[in-house]
Amino acid sequence: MKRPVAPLRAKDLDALRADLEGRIGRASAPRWNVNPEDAQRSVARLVLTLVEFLRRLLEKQAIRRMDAGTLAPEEVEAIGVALMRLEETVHELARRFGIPKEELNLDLGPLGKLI
Amino acid sequence: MKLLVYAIARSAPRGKLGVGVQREALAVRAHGGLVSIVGKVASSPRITEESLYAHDRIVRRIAARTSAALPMRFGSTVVDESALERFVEERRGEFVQALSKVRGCEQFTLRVFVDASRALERPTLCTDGPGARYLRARAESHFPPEIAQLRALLAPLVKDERAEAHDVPPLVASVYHLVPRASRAAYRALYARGVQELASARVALSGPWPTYAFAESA
Amino acid sequence: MSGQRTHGARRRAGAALESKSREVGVLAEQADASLLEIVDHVLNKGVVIQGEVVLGVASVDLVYVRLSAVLCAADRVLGNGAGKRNKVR
Repeated sequence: MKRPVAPLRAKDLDALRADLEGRIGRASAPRWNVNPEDAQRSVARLVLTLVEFLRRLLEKQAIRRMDAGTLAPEEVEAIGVALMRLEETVHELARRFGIPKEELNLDLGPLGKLI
Repeated sequence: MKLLVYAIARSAPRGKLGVGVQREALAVRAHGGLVSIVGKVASSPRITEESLYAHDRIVRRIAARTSAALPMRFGSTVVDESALERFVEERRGEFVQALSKVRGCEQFTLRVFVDASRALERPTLCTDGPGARYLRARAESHFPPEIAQLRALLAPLVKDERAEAHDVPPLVASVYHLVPRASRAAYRALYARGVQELASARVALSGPWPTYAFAESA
Repeated sequence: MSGQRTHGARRRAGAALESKSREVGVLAEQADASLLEIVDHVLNKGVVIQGEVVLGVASVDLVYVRLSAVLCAADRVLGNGAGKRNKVR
């Protein structure tokens, strides 16, 4: 028995579909292999993905604490600047190694929920 | 053979459990204060329309017949009974906490679509530095400002809320609401009112669902 | 860290994941809104059993990491601001 869902426009549906296909596709390889043929890019990809993972985790925690009011205004500012610089740096380095942003995603099962 | 796990609950569901995704018999395993609902299968279930709907049906049945249940992701398997035990023990504290949160509740899911290219400049407090503005913008990317009013309207009925940003225009975010079952009709009525006030966004509501988005601690 | 899974088992697991993502692709292509919602909820949400990364070199799996055993919200472990700061508005 199908449950009724509110009607969507065609482009909304396409977007939902594209999002799902992208996410499930990325979740398919939770292993990291340093390839000696392309060691630099392999290492860069591993490092940047882990850093990006941690950055998102930090961001999410910072937002939680900001919303909960357990950060002083100067802490919010300092954390915001630091995370902003971190995001810029990660993306710049990824760009330099020719690693598309989508590749920096890591679905780690339960940890994926922390992002 | 392995065990397909469907849900973690506080106590065994009442009545007949029915069959699993592969028409296997469902069984309850006790873990001292927690139970798991499992089925013995030869191999992981294939992902088909039928099997996905079946998983949801089974999870709904379990949730309807017990006070609190955490849905497992489709196709979650453990190799044997001792692996099942280890899995539950390792995460016992987390499960107990999540179960007490979702007790008596169900989930509504809101998909948020925004057509126009979104204004990056938003009125901010002139006391906010660039760091605070950045963090605020990041927070808003998960909870889009276009639905702030709608969320505020629904807030009294929402026990917990989670969100995910998407970057597949026009889909910008998904918002998940944990709503007590007793408030279902009131939530729907408030939503119907609030959605009419939306100016620059479209929202698609689905539910009630079992509490999929609140099963993992975040 | 668990050394229980063999290299062969992990390779099979990798192949299984690839075929799962193909299955989803096929499904999603023709899915209506209702099925897309089901896919998202039962495949992207819910309690997950694995939470691991396998690190390798030259296609040889060498290190298995269960990050969930390592990472946790600081305020859950240490308390809000490690007790230094009370609720600030």
